Amino acid sequence: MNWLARLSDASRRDFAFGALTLALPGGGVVPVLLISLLAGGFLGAFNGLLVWKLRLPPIVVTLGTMSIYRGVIYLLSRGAWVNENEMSPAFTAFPRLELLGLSLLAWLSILLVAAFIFALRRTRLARDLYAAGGNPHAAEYSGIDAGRAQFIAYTICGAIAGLCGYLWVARFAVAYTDIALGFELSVIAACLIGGVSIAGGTGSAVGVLLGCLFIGIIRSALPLVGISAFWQMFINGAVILVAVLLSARQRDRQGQTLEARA
Amino acid sequence: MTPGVAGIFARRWLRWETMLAAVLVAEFVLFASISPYFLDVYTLSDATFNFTERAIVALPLAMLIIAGEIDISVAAIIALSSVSMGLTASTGAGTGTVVCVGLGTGLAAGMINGALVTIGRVPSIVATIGTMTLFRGAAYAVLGDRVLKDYPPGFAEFGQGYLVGPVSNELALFVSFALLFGVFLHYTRWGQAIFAVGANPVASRFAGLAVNRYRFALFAATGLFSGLAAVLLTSRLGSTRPSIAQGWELEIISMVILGGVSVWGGKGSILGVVLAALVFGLITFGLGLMNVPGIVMSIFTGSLLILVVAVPALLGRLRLSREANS
Repeated sequence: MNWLARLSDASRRDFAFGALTLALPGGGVVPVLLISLLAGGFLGAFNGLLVWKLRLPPIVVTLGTMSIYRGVIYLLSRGAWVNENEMSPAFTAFPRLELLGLSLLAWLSILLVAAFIFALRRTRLARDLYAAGGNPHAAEYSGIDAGRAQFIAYTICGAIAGLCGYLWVARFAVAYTDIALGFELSVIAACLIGGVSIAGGTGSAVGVLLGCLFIGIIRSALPLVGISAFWQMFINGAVILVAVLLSARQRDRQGQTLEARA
Repeated sequence: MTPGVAGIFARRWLRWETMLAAVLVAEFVLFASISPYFLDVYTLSDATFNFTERAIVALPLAMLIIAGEIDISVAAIIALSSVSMGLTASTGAGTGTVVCVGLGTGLAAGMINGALVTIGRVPSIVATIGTMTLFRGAAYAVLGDRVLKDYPPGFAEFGQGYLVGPVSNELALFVSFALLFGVFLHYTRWGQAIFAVGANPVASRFAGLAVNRYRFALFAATGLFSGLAAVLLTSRLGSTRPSIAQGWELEIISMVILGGVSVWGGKGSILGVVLAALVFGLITFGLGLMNVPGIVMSIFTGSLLILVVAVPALLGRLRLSREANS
């Protein structure tokens, strides 16, 4: 189920950002990074707590917090835009620093993907998450605290969303209430295309990376082949539907029971 | 053990619907004391425009959620219906055609959702996340940054007209559909079947209910009523943008869940949803009177949604731990 944790990514992203630009217009880069990670992690942890301790349906929780977090950005920023002249040069330059021919932004994503490939294969948390997604009851009987594992997944998700909030704002040098609106759908689409099952229990970091590349390539290719950028959302939707239909068929092949048909 | 007088009292009066009714009365008293103009018939009539369109979608959606499914594409269906109506109107079609196109688009969209869930066997949350993106994406793809507003003259009547005195067409439609849905859900065999499907789909299937047929019909109905809401909203605004009804899915789902419908299916009532729609509409109207911007209201909507699901869960945990101790 950990893909669900990504639903409110986008919202958290801006929130984390809104908070930190207002707080730290002149600060160095390291505290900004830390604050964005912490703010995002905190907001993710809140979602996780609701899902873990109260067993609320993740979709309801993240739909709710999505609009709460976005509302809070507005309250904090009063709807104002934060522009480049209010940000320090180091703040905006950081993701564009070049290292061995690649920008720091690219290095960061390579690093994160590598970390996730390792973590999803080698850590106990990841095994717990796969087990919890594959068969929650079996996971519980074998002594796995699925709720706790999901809580940690939500927190990590939030922290990374917070980090992306900083990177996003630094790259575009502007922050506003509606930033990254609808981004959650692109992120979910990338996961689903990358082979993460909606029913939980399967998926890999390499798959998600390929999913992201697919979406990214479509996004940059559309204007090149002369199709309006307004088609992006429609294509995302079509791709999500194809992906979920395929994964539903796969699940059917695995277990043909009356329960699956009911 | 027979319940005592207190037990009967508690069962009859401490129901969710009674609590909603109390909240509603409190709202009335509060707003009436804040503004002397609030209790005016025409103010109240104006206030109903705040929620009737959403509440009309909430009625079939409540049945869908009771049946254990969910549809988060409703707002996107409204947008798509509105865009197709706008395109039809721009070719010079009459009011009747425009309305039929709007309702038809909604119905078709709902049937796509239903087919994905019943034939494609995709969980409804995921299927409708997909169609939400698809329908809204189609609206953007067709319209881009344009606006459609060449509606035929008679078209404005649906969303702006009044049936008698201060009773608007929208309100009259909502009240009649609420009665219809209430009778259907609570007093017919089909309504009973919807509760059964939501409470335990596998058992219902073994008991010989055509579970998938119910699901498909409910998705189609939700689509059709989203189309109706699109007719009313477009008629009231007189223009269509692809961002029309943005975020409404959240408000509509909140209305349903605030109305006491269980997110896990099998429980809920139309009366509760109607009361929740009134509570919700009055609150947003009141906040609007106090100049609270829409995005801040979304904090309120989101918190309300989480609170309403969290409170029963918290109470359940308390009861469990008390039973474990005794």
